[in-house]
Amino acid sequence: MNRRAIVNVWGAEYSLGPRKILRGVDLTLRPGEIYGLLGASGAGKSALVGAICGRLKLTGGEVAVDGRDPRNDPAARAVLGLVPRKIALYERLTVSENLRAFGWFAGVRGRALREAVDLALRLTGARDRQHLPVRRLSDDDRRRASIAAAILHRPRLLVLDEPAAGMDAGARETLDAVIRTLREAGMAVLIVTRDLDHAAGLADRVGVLRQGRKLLEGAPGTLVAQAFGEEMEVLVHLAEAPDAIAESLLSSEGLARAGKDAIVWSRFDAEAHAIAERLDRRLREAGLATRKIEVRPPSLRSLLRLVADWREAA
Amino acid sequence: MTLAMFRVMALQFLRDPVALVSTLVLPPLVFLVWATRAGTGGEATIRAAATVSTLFVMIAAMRGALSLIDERDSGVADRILAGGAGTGPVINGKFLFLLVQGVVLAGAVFAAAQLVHDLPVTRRIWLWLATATVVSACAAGLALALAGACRGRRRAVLLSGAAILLFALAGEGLAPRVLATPWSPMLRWAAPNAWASEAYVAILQRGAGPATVWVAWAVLAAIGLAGLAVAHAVARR
Repeated sequence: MNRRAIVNVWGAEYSLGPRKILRGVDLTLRPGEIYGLLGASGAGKSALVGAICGRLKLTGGEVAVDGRDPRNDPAARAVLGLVPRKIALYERLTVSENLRAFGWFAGVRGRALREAVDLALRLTGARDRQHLPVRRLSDDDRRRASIAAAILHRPRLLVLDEPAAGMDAGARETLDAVIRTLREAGMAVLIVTRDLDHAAGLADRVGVLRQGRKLLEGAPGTLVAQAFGEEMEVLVHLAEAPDAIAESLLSSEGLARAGKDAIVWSRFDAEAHAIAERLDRRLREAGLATRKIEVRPPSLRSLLRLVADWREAA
Repeated sequence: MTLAMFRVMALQFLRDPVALVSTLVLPPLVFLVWATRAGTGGEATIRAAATVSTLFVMIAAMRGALSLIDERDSGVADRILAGGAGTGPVINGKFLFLLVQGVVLAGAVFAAAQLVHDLPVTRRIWLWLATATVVSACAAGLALALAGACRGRRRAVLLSGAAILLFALAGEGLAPRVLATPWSPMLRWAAPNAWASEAYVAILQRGAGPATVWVAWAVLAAIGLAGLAVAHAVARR
């Protein structure tokens, strides 16, 4: 398998008037790899994807897709398939008509198109819905059809923008299976998402953008292990927001707010179970009602919370 | 790619009952009611057919051109442009479809005119076809330029409605007398439908040939091509 990078981004910078959207972002993506590009709204994800897809002209830095400039070279754009955030299909047309149409747009014709449509329907599991108009499909089936429409020209890079938005757990598992199948076929997959848990479960590597800068990058498990080692997370779910006395008790045990509403408090420690037992006793003695106290392994979400806390403290 | 967009537009058109009725059924009906109520014949009938067909061609072109905005809003445009193709073939494919749609619509109106009022359409078919083609090209170019320039569907619908109303008032002399000015007759030639009516009347009533109607054809074709050029320029932004 060719392991030469399919996407290279060097020091990407983009400004919109005085506002800096991207500040020197680097990114490399290789065939057969799933990369999760994470970040809150306004972090610069869409700008970076726009530059990779050739829709946006960077104000600094460079982008290469398959070694070519995607903005000026159609051959670079021809190796990528985009699954936009919206379903982006013709609602009145059936799934197979849509696939034929997007095949034509991608320059696939005749027998090659018939085979491509068949393969895309098979890979995405959308075959049994191929004769239904898109507007009559469930959200899950629409998403499958949307992915199928992006892979007809056998792209080497698939970009998915918020693919799991609004999906329930079952549909998300199906989607993940489709994406893994595509990866096994050698495709590089770039998933743009705000959903940390989804990215952590699916991606081989993640990159976290914050205010236009790349904050972290690596395999989710490795990043979490490097940051926390043997530590586990103690989470206290209070029944109601604590008063000043309760807050000082929680703080004295080294807990910090895990959310904006002060209902959930957390702490990372290698002795998490012992701390949880002690906390349970002390909170009862103080008459503070809790919904539950749990100990769990830290996640990517925990890591990002920790990083955010560090930055705030700094 | 141009043909691909043409095929997609055609497929969507065939799946849309409202589009089918408003293109193939409504225009001939409106013409027949108008021509019958007026008790007209000869030139007046040709003018009625020309007015009805041209205004409906403009309305149908605008409805089709709105797909530019719909595709932008739905993400379809992003999907198409992320591949190797640019915006050019998308616009050209839509232009080609709107042109064919306009000719078919005008054909439905003039077929009704020939069947009911015995207009000599088939005897002058090539000249009629050339006129219908440039009229449709004009409407397609204008509609694509307007749709391309508007950010939202609502604004495009509002502006196109206003433009078609103004064309109808100016080009067909439908403005109330209270609004008439000394230069109103001159203003008529700013409306493409006035050129279309003159061309249809010249070829079907007066038996004129290309030597007489070429100016009208040239004006309509120039407006259409200018609109197409604007649509391309706006899409490339």
